[in-house]
Amino acid sequence: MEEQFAVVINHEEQYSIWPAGREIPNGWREAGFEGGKDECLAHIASVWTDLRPLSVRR
Amino acid sequence: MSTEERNVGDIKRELLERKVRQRVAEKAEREKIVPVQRTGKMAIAEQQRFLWFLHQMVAGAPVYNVPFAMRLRGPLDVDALSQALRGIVTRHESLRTRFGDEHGVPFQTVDPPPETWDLPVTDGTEAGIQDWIDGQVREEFDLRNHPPYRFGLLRLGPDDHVLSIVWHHIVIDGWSSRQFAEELTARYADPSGSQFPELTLHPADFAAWQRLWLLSEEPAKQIESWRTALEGMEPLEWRGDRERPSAPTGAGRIYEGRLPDDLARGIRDLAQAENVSLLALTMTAYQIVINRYTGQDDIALGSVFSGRTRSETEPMMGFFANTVAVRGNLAGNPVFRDLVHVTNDTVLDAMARQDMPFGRMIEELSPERVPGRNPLVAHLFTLLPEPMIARWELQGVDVEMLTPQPETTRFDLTFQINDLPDGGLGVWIEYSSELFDHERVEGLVEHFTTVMADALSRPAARIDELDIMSNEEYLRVLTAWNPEPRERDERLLHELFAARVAEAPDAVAMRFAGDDLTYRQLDERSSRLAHALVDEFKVTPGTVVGVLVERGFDLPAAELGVLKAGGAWLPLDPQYPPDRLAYQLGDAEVAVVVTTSDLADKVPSEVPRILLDTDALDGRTGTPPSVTVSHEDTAYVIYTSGSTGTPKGVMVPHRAVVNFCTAFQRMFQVTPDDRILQFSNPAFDVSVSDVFSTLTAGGTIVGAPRAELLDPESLQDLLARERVTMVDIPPAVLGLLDPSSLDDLRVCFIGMEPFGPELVNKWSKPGREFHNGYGPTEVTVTCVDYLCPPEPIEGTPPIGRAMDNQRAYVLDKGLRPVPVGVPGELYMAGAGLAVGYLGRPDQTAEKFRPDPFATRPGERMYATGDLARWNADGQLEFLGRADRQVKLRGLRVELGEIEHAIEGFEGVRQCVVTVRDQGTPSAWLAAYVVGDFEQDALREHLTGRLPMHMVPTDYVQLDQLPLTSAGKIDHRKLPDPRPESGAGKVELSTDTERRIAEIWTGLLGLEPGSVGAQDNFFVLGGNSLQVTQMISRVRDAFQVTLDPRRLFSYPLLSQFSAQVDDAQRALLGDDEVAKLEAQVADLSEEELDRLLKEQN
Repeated sequence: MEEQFAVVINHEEQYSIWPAGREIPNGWREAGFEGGKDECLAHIASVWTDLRPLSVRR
Repeated sequence: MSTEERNVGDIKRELLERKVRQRVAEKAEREKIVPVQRTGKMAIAEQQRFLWFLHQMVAGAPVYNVPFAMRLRGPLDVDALSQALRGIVTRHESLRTRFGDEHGVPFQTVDPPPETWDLPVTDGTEAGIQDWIDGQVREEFDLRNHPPYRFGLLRLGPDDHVLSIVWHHIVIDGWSSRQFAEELTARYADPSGSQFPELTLHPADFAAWQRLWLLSEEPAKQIESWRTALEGMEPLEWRGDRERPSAPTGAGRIYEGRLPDDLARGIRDLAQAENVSLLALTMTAYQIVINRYTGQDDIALGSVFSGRTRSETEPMMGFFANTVAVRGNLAGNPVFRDLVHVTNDTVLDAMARQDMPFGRMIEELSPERVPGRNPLVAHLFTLLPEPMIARWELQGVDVEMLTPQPETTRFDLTFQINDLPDGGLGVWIEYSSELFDHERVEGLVEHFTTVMADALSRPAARIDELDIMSNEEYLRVLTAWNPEPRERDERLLHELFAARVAEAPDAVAMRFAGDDLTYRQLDERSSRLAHALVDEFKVTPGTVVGVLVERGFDLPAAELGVLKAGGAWLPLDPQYPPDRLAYQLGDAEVAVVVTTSDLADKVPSEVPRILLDTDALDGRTGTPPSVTVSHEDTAYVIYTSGSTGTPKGVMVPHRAVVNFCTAFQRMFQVTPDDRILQFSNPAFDVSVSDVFSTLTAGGTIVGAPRAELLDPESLQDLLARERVTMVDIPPAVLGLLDPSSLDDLRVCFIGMEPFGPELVNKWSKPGREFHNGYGPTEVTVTCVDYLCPPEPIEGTPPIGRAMDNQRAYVLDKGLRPVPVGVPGELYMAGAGLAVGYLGRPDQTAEKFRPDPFATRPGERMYATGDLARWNADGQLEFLGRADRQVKLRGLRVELGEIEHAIEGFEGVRQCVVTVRDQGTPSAWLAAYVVGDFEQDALREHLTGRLPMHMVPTDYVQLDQLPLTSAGKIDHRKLPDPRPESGAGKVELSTDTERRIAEIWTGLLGLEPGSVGAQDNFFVLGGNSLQVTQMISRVRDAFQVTLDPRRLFSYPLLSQFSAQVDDAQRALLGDDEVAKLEAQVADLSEEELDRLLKEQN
């Protein structure tokens, strides 16, 4: 089976992916989407519209 | 009625049983090993045949010598010892056997028992013991003319001796060693040897039996089940500390140790509880270690079994042990306990098939031969059971075992667990010292011990969860080998510059073509531009501004101007083709391009521009505009082209570039007196270092027009004239310069591509630091650095460690740290990370991952896509791109490594290697090379440096490599190296070639006439065992004896034929060949015709 990932997000609202089922690193939380790598990345492309860290968005 | 019926039934049944018993007994009688007639040339066993072949391959190295040495303290009866040894030699025919070969087929000859016999006794001293026992084991056996053993006694004093016993492995194995020791003990005590009856069967009888057995149906069945079991097996690709030499010497070393006693107890207990063998349990843990080392799920290890599957062989002293392959499948992350049971079954299956001699199996399965590497399995994990551990005892004498150092190895590595009589478990490792360092082997034992202990504590865990690294090693690679965090400068990039302006406004910021630009001038000019950008083009933080200028004062002015306006600059190369320029301008949504009149026509008409050489800046304020910029705002965008896909813009924030500049200043102690060359193309981020590391430190940038920089002579002049103190240039450029006239040059910061030690040794000296820098654009210019030592180095320098406020991790596919010495992907974390790829959230998320090792929550790490590993000193070694590894007939090939080797050849300027017919069994490598060189000389050069399967088959000489618009090599435009391919075989052109072709055709069972001059012996199906036969036939036909390894270096028929020709000429000597040539030259055409006709 294709490796599964979870879409994760940090306090700066930066997105990334993390192997599903593995303990998520400190400071990151699940963003509510799981799937194959490409699906997760496609999901991120649709929701992450401003790449700047939250602290500098104006 | 019923009684009668029963009686008849009983009788029938009894008759049947009797017949069955009789038939079984007949069959057993037929299959028994029986004595055969002794003749001068008797067959040898398959195990021996294979060893004989290997013995030829190692050309004299004592690789297959089996030594025992012991110190004997106390009254020794030398006569009794001598008689005991003689008794053993007399009783066991194998010790009186010599070996020879005819047409490549080995045979054995048994000599009669020795009539007189003396144990050689030498006088020696305490200090000379080790040398003496090492000398005994290292001396080669002449198996053709002398016995396969060597006994010797060193007399240190009347009651103090050292006994050395060395055999060639071809007549002995572990089981026999134990027998030998027991018989020696008994015969020493009772010289009559009456308890040892004469043996009726000997290894020669077994060999004869085995030949018949090989003709029966059973072997075919075993072969078939081996074939099924090993189908598609991947060879282990465990990367050693050094490259595998193409002609290994077999140099090796021995490690001896013992597992902790509580661990040994735990292993025995779990094996018993699970009802599995010790071998299966320990091998499973070992498979996990190797899986982490290689990333492979398919782990095939050799293992040695006794081979004594028939009771008749038990009393025989001889070589019966057989290597088998045990293949583990770790895919799917199984539970440890389940995997142990699978391994146990695999071991049992292998045992059931262990009669199939290893050499025969290789021949049947014929995996591709890699020179200098054992076929099929090069890595052994084996268990020496207690009954095979020799116990050396002599009555009345105290025996202390000594360790002779043969300094050879049979395999890449043999990891052996000794099942010790005291209940402990010993570890004995023989490894290639050409491939591995001692530390690596110690690490292996540590990883095995760690994972074994972890698995014992939780056998229900999945294997991915098990730790192979100790906590100390985790700490070392994650923390100790990364720098302590330092305080970071919270200012913006242009604020660092402003501080320098305030300090020394009249200092020279830049020199270009003989002119000076002061800090004040640069400050004012950039401020004016900033006002124009803010006022007329509404530049704000986040806005991307194109910078399209030639090298010169405009470059720093434009970049600083954009920063002061709050924007991010995007450097554009005037050399770019229009479509690439347009693509970047559109992709980055560039608001305005800063350029000059002569370049303005390159900018698409719809894009706004500001021309620096017009009056556009006139009348604007010379102090910076007031804008609010954050540390996380982007300072510049630089496009990088990945190996696949379109170029992407990397957004580098002030935080990252400020961290880089301050780290640079601290590392090189940059002062306002420094003059730093601006060499790099402004579109690459090294130029950011050239410009801003200098301007933020108050130094002077030394620039020049492109043409001057690219001409080595004028570059040399420039560096000398301007007394340049620091350069960051590609290694190839530095290589063209002469250090002698450049005494002011105190720092060479070299990177971008790997380079060899010659460059470092040419330039590095006290007072001039030579650094190897590494860094992708995504981690801001350079993030890993190595300061080469001032003394000469050997080998490619490492890339070192992470720079200030950065962290380097080497991780496996599961994002776990890999142990020291193990390749993994390099990840970078810390202050150097870019924000991401402009407008590409998906690619950003893919490459910038959560950092599980960070102390501050929510940090990211960047996946560089580069392979690296930690060396034992805690320095990172760069191993190439992760995505440039290809598979060639199952073997992993690093294309970059081949290119590096080619580029190391004199006259070669550039090259690229590609795989043709990839994924097919006939896949081959083609090298495209720019430069002046002899193809044959290049091939010879590579053969000496690379494993055979990595030496390209075809070489195409090009004037230049085709490039994409992004400046990368365009693989699609590389010409077909064999435009007429498919036409099949290349005609044979010489008589030698024709005769060699006949030999190959016959040996390999090919269609007559099907072999061409460019055919490869191994690709045609030739295997390692046929090599010796072939060499032997060539000897018969040409009267020359070629080293079998030559064939691996020259596998094509035309190449090999040329070797034969050379050998023949060498045999005659230059003078005689010259005479013959002269004779031929003097012949008239008529005479020539006549002679040729006669010969035909």
